[in-house]
Formats: sequence, C-alpha cells, structure tokens
Amino acid sequence: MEQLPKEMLAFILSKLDGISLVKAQRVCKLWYDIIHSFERHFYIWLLTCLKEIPLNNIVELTEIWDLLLLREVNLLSECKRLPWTYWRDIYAEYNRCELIRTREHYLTELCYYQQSGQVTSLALRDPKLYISDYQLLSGHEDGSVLCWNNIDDCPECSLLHKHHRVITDICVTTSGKTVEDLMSGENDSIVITSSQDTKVIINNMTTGQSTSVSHYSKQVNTVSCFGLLFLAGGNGNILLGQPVWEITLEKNYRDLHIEKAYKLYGHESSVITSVAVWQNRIRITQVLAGDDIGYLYSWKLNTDNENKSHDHQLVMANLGSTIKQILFRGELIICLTADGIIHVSTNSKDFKTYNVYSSLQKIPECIAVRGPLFVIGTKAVKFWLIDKATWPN
Amino acid sequence: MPQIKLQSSDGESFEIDLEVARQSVTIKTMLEDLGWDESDDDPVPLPNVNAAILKKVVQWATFHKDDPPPPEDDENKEKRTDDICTWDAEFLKVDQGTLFELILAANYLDIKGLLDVTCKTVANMIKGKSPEEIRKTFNIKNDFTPAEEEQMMSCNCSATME
Repeated sequence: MEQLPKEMLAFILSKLDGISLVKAQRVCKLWYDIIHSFERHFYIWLLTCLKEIPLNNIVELTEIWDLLLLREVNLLSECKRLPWTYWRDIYAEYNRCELIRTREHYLTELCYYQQSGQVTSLALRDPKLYISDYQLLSGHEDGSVLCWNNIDDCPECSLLHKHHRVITDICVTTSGKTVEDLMSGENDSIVITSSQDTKVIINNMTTGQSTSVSHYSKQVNTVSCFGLLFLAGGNGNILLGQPVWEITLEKNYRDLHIEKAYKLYGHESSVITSVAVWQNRIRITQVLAGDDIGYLYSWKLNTDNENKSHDHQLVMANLGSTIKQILFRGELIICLTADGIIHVSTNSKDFKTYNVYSSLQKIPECIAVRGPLFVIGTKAVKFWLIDKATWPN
Repeated sequence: MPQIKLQSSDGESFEIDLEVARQSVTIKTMLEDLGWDESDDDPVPLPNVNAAILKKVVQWATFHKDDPPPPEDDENKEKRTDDICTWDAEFLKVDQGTLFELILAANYLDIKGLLDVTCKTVANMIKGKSPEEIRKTFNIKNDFTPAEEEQMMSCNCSATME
C-alpha cells in the first residue's frame, strides 16, 4: 500500500460508499487526511447522499420541499450552499438503520400515559438537524397530543395541545421550501392535528402559537401535508361523494384556506379513512386516499388547469380491510390496514405485506416514518421503534 | 495489422498490435511526438514498467481492444464498484503487490479502463471492513495516539456510524 502515491490512494478512496469512508478515515493519519480533504473540497457527503439516498428521502429528511423541482445541475449547486457537515449529518441520519443494527437495538418500547387512552395517531419530526434527536408526536383517545423527546435514550413527554375528542390524525411540516429558507433560519415547524371534535389544530412549534380551526361541518378523519400543501379528508355519504379538501396555510400559519374540495366517488365506500400527498419531480402532486373497505385511490392535483373538472380517480389496489393510514414518499407507499397488516409498495403497483400482529403480538393502531425510522403505535400502551432492515424487501 | 515493439524496464521486448498499444495515452502521445511510422523497428522504451507487469498490461489491453472509449469524468463521480466484468475479476486475482504495480503501470501508461478496474478492486477490498480489518488487510500501521482515537470516536458522525 505504501508504494502507491497519495493521489492514487485518493482515487481509490473516492470510490468508497459513505459508510466505508467513515470507517476508512480511522485507519491511519494519511487516510484520515485524504478523506477529510474530500469532505471539505469535494462535497463527498453531498455526492454520497445524492448517490445513495433516493431523492424522496432526502426531501423528507431535509424538509426542503422544492428540491424535487430542481434540475440535476441546479440540484447539486443549490445543495452545495449548505455546509458539508449538514450533508454528513443527513447521511448519518439516513443510515440510522445501520446504527440500530450494530447496536443490536431492533425494537424500542415506549410506554405512554395510560390515562391518555390508546394511541390513535403518530408522527415524527426533527426539531433541529442532529442525529438521534427526533421528536415523536402521538395523538390519543382522550384528545391529547403528546410530544416525546429523547426517544432513543430515556423518553420524556409533554402535552402539546388538546382536542375535545379522539385524535384522528397528525401531520408535520415546515414552512420553508428552499435551501434559502433553511439557511435563513426562518423555518417554522408546524404540527396539524385532526379530531372527531371536527376541529383542526395548527400548532406552530417554533413560535409556540396554536390555533383551532373549524371550517368543517363533518368529522375530519385524516390530514396529510407536503410542504405547505395540506389535505384533509372527512366523512361523507355515498351519493354525494367523499370530501377531500385541498387546503393552504395562511401566511401566519394561523388559519387555513380551502382551495378546492374534491369528491371521491368510490366503490360502495362510505368513509375516507386516510389521505396522503407527495409531489414528484415534474411538479405533479399526487394524492392517495384509502377508504373503510380497503380501496386505495390515486389521483393527481391539477393546480394549473382548472378546466379539467373531474380529476381522474384510479383505484390503485384493494387491500381488503379499512386503510387506517397511508404514508407516501414518491415511489414508496406504506399502508396500515385495520387487520393489523402493513402493506409496502416500492413501485405503486405490487404490495408486499408485513404482519405486525404475528411479530409483535400486538394490534397496530398507527404508524409513522421518517427516513429509516419507523414507529408503530399499538393497543398495548406502547410504541415500537422498528429498524428498516426488518421490513420485507 | 501494424505491429510495435515495447521494451520493459528490465530490457525485455514485446511485439504487439499498434491498436492494442494505442489504448495507452502515454504511448499514443509518444508515438505522435516521435513521428513514428510502420517501418520503424526501434522498441519504445517504458522505463517505469517491468516485464512481468507489462505482460499483464498487454494481456488486459488485448482483451479490451474493442471496448468503447470510457466516458469523460464528471463532477458526480461514478462510485459503483460492483460492475467489474468476470474476465477482469479473474484477471485481477493476483497478490496485492502485483495489483498495486498494475495500478502504478496503468497510471503511468495512462490507461483509464485498467486504472479504473484495478482501483475498484482495491476499493472492494476496503468496503465493509472495520478500521482494524483494513489495517490487517493492507498491513498499515495505526499511527493515531489513543487520545486522537478517543477524539475521533466522540466526533458525533464517526462515533455513531461505527
């Protein structure tokens, strides 16, 4: 090895993947210096991220929603504005599954206040980008929304806000959309919860302000957001169709503005039980909705063309049981059905199933995902953190 | 087909097809600069490559003479290392010393394809190994002091990814 000149060694090391780079820099001082200079001068972590992490996951982790709209060349130059350490942290965060695996730490149980009743919904957020510094938000039967800190080590929880009845769904987002927003620090972190009390609460966790909004005559069963685009689905009847509202947040994030109401004419469906929204690289916003008999619908939001009155709704799959929750990250779709099965699709066509009950002996109520981290809320007053590696391929 | 003579550092001559030799940018430039033509019988001296290695290089270049030219480097450097063809993988089942000499020869002769595949082979020997295993594989001395190692472990990224 000593016979190779430094630039040859550098060429070899430049061919390593991120995890191997981290290990290689601890081999000796020469290797450390070479890899360290890559970090500073060649944005090795950014390149490694773009190479090894699907863009949908990068958007999910960075919450820079507009990255999906940038062309390849602009993407690289825009991302380069962020310091190299940021991309190293994103890479480390994404490879959390690796960490958990090497720590032999597949499952973590969190017990929650019994007096809050069963957990009904979950969401994960990242208050500031720092490894293992997730916050878990949980909604409960008695209407309380709890915020969990330090979920890896010794979890502590506090009450975020309270509805009058069962929480039906939680979603989290950030107000910033671009690298610029992230760098300026004017990036509010927003939590939206819906409840059987027909109200929606918007909680700006950065400023600590929360607002209760009640624009709906019907119960809101589900909420989902992508950036500042926000969707809610509620109870309707068979003849009138199921309402799905496309909503934007007002500037101060204290009110909602209903842009458009969609009617979903499903099979004999009676209730929309879950919605999810994601944008693809060509500015097409796709919506998924699930109903209480297990049909999964898909349609595109026509934000530009108002004339296309009825957006074509396709039945994507029949999952056989009430779709309680949908998580949607571009190609990756994860659905939880009432029979305790998690359905995972990586191509929007074929679903693989994962039976939570047979592995945990607990009935799953809700799920959340952020990068490699999965959380399952079960009826037996516990959350379970699950490593991605245990999922079906 | 025109032939050309190459002479290794230890004086051995190899007669090979001109097309095969021209895969080396170094040889190609040298011939152009010297105004070489087919009637020339003088061997081209390669003072940095010995006979054993030159023989391997010629063997590789002969097999790959019809390959399309390699794509230009761009900023987002190709990091894949699992695309080594079976012939190359078999060809590169050699001891470490030979592998490193091949890298040096490929670099000196400026044969991009050979340099790439040899470096990828070494990268594959590094992948998936712990620092200690890497040191053992390549016989590298750990020159960090215990204090420096401690410091690296506490740096959030390296520590948590270990």
